[in-house]
Amino acid sequence: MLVSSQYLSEPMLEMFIFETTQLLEQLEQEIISSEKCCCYTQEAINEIFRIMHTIKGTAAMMLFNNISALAHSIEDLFYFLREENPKDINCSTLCDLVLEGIDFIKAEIEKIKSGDDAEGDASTLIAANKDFLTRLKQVSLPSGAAETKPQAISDMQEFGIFTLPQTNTFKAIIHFAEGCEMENIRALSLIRNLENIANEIRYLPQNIADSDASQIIRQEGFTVYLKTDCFYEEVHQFLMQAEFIKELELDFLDSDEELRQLRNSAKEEGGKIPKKDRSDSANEQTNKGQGEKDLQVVSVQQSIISVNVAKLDKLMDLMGEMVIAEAMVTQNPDLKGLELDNFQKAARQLHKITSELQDVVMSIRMVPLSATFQKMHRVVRDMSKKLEKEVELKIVGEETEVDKNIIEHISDPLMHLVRNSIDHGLEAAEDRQAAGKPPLGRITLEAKNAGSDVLIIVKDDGRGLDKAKILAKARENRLIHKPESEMTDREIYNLILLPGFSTKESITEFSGRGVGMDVVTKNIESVGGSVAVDSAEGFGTTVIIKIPLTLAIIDGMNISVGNSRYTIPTISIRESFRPKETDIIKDPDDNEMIMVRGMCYPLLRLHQMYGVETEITKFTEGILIMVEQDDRTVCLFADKLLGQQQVVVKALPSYIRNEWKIRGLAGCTLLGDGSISLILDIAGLTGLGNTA
Amino acid sequence: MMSRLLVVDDSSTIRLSLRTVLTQAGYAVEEAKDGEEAVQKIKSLPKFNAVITDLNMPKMDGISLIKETRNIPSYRFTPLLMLTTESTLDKKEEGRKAGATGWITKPFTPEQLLAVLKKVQV
Repeated sequence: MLVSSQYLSEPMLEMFIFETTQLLEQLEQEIISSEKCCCYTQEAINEIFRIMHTIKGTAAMMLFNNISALAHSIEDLFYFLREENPKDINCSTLCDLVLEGIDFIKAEIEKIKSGDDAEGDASTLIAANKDFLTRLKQVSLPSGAAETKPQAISDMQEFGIFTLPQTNTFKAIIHFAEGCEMENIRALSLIRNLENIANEIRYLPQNIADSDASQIIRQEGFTVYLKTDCFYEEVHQFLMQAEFIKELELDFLDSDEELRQLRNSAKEEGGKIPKKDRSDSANEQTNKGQGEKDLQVVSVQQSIISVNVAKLDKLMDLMGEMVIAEAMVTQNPDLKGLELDNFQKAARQLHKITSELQDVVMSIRMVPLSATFQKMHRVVRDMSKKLEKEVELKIVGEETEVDKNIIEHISDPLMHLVRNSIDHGLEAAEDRQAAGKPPLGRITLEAKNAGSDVLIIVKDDGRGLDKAKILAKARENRLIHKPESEMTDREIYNLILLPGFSTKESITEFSGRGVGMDVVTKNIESVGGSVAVDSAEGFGTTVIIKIPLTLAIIDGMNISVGNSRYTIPTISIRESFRPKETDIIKDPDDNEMIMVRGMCYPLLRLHQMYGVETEITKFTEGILIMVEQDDRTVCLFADKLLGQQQVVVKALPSYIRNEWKIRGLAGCTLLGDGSISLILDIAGLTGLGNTA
Repeated sequence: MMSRLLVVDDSSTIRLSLRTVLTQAGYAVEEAKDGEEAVQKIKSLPKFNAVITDLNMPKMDGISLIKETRNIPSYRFTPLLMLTTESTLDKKEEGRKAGATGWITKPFTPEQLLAVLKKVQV
């Protein structure tokens, strides 16, 4: 249908974008898996044809003619494949054609999304498709019979009718068995049943909802006029199924005159009595909320609905406010020193419900990684084709779920990592064989849950990282803050994550767009995650991305330093203790260290670090909190622990972030008493400890 | 009085736009996303005054849907309209044999759609 401006609406456009995007993803997967086995199965051809057909239809309706025309040309191609089933098709060319088509439509959809006109020129692509089709025809129909099947030539006529509908009109007079009582209700349920087979129903008496109708029905019988597609015997049989029917008189009417009269009289009566054409009775049902039919209607409704993400975000925000409000009530300063047994009981109940609610809200936002992972097939396909490396992508644990917001942030980094692996990691086939490896390079994409984190692992079996090269490059860019001899292999590998580091000399089309691994790190860190690299020279590289299940609400330990409050994510805390003065040692650079059970850890005085005035500066008066992140440990010195609570992470205002660039802060939160607490970024702090 | 229509199409965009146009024209609209769901709704819900169906759909296509619906006694003469894009003669003929009442070629205007419905007296 052509959607004129009268009907075109925002939801329709949104639906179009959503649907087409989904179809394109499905199509892409279909194409790539077909290409892998070097043939198109009959099902695949049907599926691709159907998708292109749908896109063509919807795009034409929304007046996106370029998309529609392109989809049409691909549809024609697959129509031919489906009907003629030609042998020896050039599979890889066909895949290229379709994928180029997909890319074009995707780009157009992006334009539509951002409110621009979709005016891209698809004519070269269409011509290429037509060319391919012509060549196919020449090969498979060598007899010279150019066209055997009529191509979808649009008909001049837009619509037509084969046969006009016809219906039968019946008149039934029904007498119920004597003494069955509630005749009007029985009549009503009879009408309800008839609605399943009749196009229109009228009856006398009209006011069967009233109980005095029973009297009339008892004396004169219940008269029903109905229009239906059913034949006499069928209607008769249908009516006789009803209970308590004593007598049924069913007549075939030549004209629907009587029925029309009733229809008119019902109209005149207005809304006073229940009008008994079908849709009105449907309305009535919903109004009264009664009857099994209601249930029936509900049961066929789908059990999944789609919700605007903005609403989910709002729900999440409100959930956060709720957690804060709960803390504000239960930890209200006014309650200090009061013994409130009942209040505590109620507060516990409130807490139980809010945390349950929180779990539900979180679970609503969880999305499996499968779509993101599946996208990588296309990346691998394009890359391996361009670089002429044979690559196999293995996906493990794609059903693992993460927060919707996080998904959006990891798609690009993942793509970058996969590209890196193919471009820099995997060797060319000859080199691989020389090294005694199978010529087919393998990349594994794995996701799994680990506590409150999700691990995403990108692994290749390529040449691995060259330590000497990394060190040289890092030295050149002054990225090393520690004697090289003391660095572990892991520390060396992780140098490549630092800003301004790139080992590949030449920039290739795919992975070296002037950005390196540091962009990956930055992206992941922006959602509170971390990246680690491990490698074995000659055996491959593994990049591990660790991201929190959710961002917004964390379990935190509140601590105080002077008048300031800080919050440490509970998950990072190993232990807290008060040290003896003798445990403190100093390294040659005058950095304070502490000896715990024979291990030496760097010490950070929070009051010094953030310039907070406090009376507690002796270790024996305050408390030490040992925190760990990514196998790096540091001890923080604070005045005292305040207690554990769930906190809602709020981002630091941008002027604070940009102006002062305070290190080691992940955000801030509101405490129960209304004061602000700064959330410590443990990864940042442990990093400081190491390079200090 | 409101006529009830069943709209069958695998594209949610098409369903939404048909619903928009038809509801504005005063019809009560029910949707199904393929032939299978349509048959289920036809069998379990009060009778529809007409069915408008796409032909190319997963699970069960429009032609089979029309055939199956025609076999239900109460739908013996009910208008079953097909939405076609391949307006080739054989598709239309196939539909006619299956028992379709008429056809509309996509893309069409809302006015054309409403005109067809009027023609089949729905």
